[in-house]
Amino acid sequence: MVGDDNVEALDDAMIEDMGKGYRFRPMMQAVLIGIIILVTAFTLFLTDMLDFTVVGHLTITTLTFCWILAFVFPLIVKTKSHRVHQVSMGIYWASILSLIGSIILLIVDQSQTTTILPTSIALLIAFLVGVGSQLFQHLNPELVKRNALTYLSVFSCSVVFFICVWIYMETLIPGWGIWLTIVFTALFAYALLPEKTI
Amino acid sequence: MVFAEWEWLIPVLALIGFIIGFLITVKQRKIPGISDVIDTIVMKYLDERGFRLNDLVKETGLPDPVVKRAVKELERNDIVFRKKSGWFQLNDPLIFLSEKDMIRASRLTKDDNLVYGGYQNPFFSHVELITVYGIFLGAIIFAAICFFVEPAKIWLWQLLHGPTAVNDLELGIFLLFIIMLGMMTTDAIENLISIWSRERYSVVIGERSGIAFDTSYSDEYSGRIGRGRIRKVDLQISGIQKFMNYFLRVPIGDIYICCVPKEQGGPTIAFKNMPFPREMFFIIRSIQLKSLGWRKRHARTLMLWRARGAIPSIRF
Repeated sequence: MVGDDNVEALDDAMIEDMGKGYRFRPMMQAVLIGIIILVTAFTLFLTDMLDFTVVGHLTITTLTFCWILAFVFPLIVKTKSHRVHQVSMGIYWASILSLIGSIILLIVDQSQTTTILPTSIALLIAFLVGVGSQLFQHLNPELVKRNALTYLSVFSCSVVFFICVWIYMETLIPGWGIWLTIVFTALFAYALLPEKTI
Repeated sequence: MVFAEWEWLIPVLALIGFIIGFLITVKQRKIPGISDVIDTIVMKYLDERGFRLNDLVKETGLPDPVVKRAVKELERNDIVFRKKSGWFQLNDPLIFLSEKDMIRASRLTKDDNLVYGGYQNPFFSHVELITVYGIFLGAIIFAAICFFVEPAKIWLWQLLHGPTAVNDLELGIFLLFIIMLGMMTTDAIENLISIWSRERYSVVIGERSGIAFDTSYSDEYSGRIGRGRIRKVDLQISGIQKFMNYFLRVPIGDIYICCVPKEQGGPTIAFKNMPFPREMFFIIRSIQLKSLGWRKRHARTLMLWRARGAIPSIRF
């Protein structure tokens, strides 16, 4: 493959992926992912969540599948190829968009019949920002480096996170909410900052 | 209810999200000349040999802007680095030290050609540190109990909202927040432990100086094993390590080095939970046999392996 300037194809030129010896074979990784999907489906079946005639069950099922896969996929699938990266990014965006859709539907529904408090919606947005950014960092460690863009992104996410958590905390513990929010935001920002190699 | 009417949109959105995620990463970036530049670096400038852009332009025969862009890309991905003098140098693929420790190691080994460097995994060397993950696990268990066990559910609801009827959705959102806090706290503490531990208990292997290692916290590589003293080297990966290596980001294992044969009362020095133990083992065998030829032969592979995943297929 010498002479090929395609960055991903350069990876394929590897004689042997050294990390491969420590990992499950690709087939075993696929089997494990399959088992997790089955266990999730069985758990949802046991809790009657697969009955889609009940309002909310389809949403819960979709979110459960997407988020469990989003977290488990990078943990189990260690085969480093462009296709695997594409699938993991696909699962990530599926999780994010389905949660955003659910939040929008909740907000729209809120205007017609009161279902949940607006403060809980703020908390749901904090969850979206918090878990979404953490997951993005785990899926793309190579994109998260100590540079101006990362610091700006962490700062922006922290501001949104702070506002949303503060809205909730202030109603929960009036007066003290802001102090707890500052601690949570500091934790959030610190956990998000890129780690050094190894 | 709007939610009931439009709920079908959620799985559709998930599907759209999957397609978007899949497609935005489909394009593979092409960087002209990067292959020639990599070849030249690994063939001519391995082992701490510095080079300038002009050298690469001369060696590859590529135009100056092409070489500049390729080197910039390699620098951006930590495959090469620019020294204060302006010269570039290849980051050795099996050096997993922070820049600060790399400088320290170079200084203490009198600028020897360092071929491996890494830190002990802090979590497996101090099992008590694994309890950090208990925070996340605890948050999940707490959330599960409070959501599925009725008395616990009522207790938590009354704690949050007083004696009103339980709203499952609101409680669920709060419990999701608790799980997220557990995850964030674990991640933040894990970061702290890694930073605290990575500056200690490091092991470096130099081509001529042999093995240098920290024997205590705040040590300065006082532990030394000259390459001539190495009699026997063993690699051991325990069952737990083998299992954890399936999931850990960095695989770990133990290396045992015997300086004087055991029958003569020689001690065995153990380096436990070292990153990429097989590669460390091969490096030690190589310096013991004074043959680092394989490393040169596979320099391109090693370099690409290190770069693997470091070069993203897209830029955000």
